[in-house]
Amino acid sequence: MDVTIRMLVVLPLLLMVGEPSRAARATQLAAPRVIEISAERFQFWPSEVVVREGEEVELRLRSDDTIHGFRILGSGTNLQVPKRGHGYATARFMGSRPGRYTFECNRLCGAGHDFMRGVIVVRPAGTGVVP
Amino acid sequence: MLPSSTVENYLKKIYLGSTGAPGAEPRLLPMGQLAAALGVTPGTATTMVKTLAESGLVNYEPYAGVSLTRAGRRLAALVLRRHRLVELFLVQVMGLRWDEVHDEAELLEHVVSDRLIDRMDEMLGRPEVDPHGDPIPDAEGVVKKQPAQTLLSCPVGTRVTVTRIIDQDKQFLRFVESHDLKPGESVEVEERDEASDSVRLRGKGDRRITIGARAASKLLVQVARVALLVLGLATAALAQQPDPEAGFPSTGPISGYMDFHVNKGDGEAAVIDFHRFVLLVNHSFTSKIRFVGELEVEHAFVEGLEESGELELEQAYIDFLLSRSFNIRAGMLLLPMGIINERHEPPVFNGVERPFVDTVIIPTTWFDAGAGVHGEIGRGLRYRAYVTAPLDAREFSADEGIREGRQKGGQATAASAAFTGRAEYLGVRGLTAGAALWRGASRVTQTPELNSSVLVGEADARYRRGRLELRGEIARVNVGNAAALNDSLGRAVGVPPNIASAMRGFYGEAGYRVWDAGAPRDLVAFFRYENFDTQFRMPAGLLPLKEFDRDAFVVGTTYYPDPDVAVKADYIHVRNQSGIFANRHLLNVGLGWWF
Repeated sequence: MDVTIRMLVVLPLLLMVGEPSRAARATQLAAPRVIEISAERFQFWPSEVVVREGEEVELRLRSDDTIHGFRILGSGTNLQVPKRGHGYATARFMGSRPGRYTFECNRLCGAGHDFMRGVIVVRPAGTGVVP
Repeated sequence: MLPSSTVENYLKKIYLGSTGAPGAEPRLLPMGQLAAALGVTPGTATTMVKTLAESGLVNYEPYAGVSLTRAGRRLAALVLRRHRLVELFLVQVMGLRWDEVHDEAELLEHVVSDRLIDRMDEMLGRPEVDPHGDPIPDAEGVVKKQPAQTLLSCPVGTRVTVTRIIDQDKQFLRFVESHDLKPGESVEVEERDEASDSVRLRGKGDRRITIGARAASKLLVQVARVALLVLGLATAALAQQPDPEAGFPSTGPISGYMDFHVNKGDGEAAVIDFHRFVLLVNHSFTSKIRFVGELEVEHAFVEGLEESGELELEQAYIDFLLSRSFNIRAGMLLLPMGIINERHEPPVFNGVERPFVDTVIIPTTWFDAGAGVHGEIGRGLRYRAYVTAPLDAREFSADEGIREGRQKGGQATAASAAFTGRAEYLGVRGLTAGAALWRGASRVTQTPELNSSVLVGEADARYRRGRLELRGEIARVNVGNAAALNDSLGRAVGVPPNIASAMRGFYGEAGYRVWDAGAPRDLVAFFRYENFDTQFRMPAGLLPLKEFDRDAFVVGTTYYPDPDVAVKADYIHVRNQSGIFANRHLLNVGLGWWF
């Protein structure tokens, strides 16, 4: 218990020497746009998703049949989409740089598994209308 | 020199921002996001990040973002260690509320010494998580992995334990506390309502709670241990009890499907047949070079004659994935003809047996060795174009059409090539429509030698909306030089095989999910009408055998105790136009599964 008492003394002292950084508090980001994607053998729908540069979107993936994988090549996104009726998986995607980002099912789901691909198109800010 | 609090704050924000969701790989953090998180201008953030890069703590990529080096990641993890241990200390030892310790820890994390932190760690019993469930890095900066499911992605109807709150806003923490959703609480997702974007939970004492999807996405959970235990012990109760997907089990590189049937024709003894045992394997050499193989044992026992079973290599190809619109495939290929040939796992079609049209007119499973290209060209349009070995016309017959002419890639006669092309439209949710052509010439080397050109064309569509699914397909086969082919083959066996110059079939099917037994179980009732005639047009001098002009009425059910398991039953009435041969009545029961 004496340690506790020592801490009660030490902590306020530490507070006095610490450099306040309340201004550096994380700011709340706006809620991302939600994009629903359904997965079934052997396709994602939609298979093309358009995002503005700098926009963060939430991809909500739901399967109409078995478990599928969802991986965005070149990013850290790699998750499993639960079976039909078992809810959905979510992934955040930040359109930080214009380009085309391939996503694919990476869990063997049947004879046509390799056809199951799609693309996220990140359009430069200020160009065109994003659906 | 010890890093300043500013440096530590930068490293911490980069760490948190680039880590993303639990379980995800680190990513580049855009400078705009970093500046926003720190409450500074982008210019200030960029200047500081460049300095950190010179110190070897971060990797800075202009116009892309920033990530931590190994040294930077370790320093950031140690800041988090101090922050989270201080939070826990303030709650457990000093009695502060869990929603007011974050701001205090923001200050103290920069000033407490390693010695003091180690003492706190020891005093608290070497904890693994802070009051919000955030993992506490160890003294080396190593962070233990956490489950990556949230209340939005976890199984429905299964008890889960809240493990972490990823938003530490005071108001949100109070909301969590007032709803008994703090880490350690047990809860069950009863329903996710897309219309209102909300999640209904059953919490402590069966309390019903409805929260928004955004709030649900901030609560990490893991399946309760008791549920996992029940899963292991009571497989018979899988359909009613905990989610069979608990923890997202992975089956590894091998998947497959199986089905077995009991078939009973009128006046015939019932036949039990373990029809298919199929294993699929895949391997990625690189992200762009993939292998897929499919090996099938039919009728369970192989002794060299097809009647006793078959061992078939139905697929074994390598894909060179070059772009979305253009990819190359070579090896043993499934031909893209009809609804079933490329999509034939038992849970994806109704009926114990595959449709007659997809068996007799389109010889499913139709595969051969060759190469080709495939891709998606945008607006929902896909294509495949393959070159393979042709059919062997010597095996064509009156009743099964071209089916026995498949060479199956085994030392196939390839004096000429066969071409297959398919275009497919998937631009409307729930709709898949396609058309395909196969064209090849088969050289018959008997005397006199002749070439028989074969053309197979088909169009198909399936559409699903709500509980209803509709399917339709029409296919036609033209056999060129059919008169000479019959003549040539007739010389060999004494009787012309009565091969038609044209064969045709079509079917329409309606399926309706009649019973919603609670996700994910389904009971589908279906009806299918088929018309198929392997003697549709005859060459000069031959009359059609009308017993092969058939239609079929199929009615049945498919029950899914799990989306990957199908229990099937159907009744089939097959009529023929001969007026001599009896019509057939068949009862079939089957069980098929995918794993």
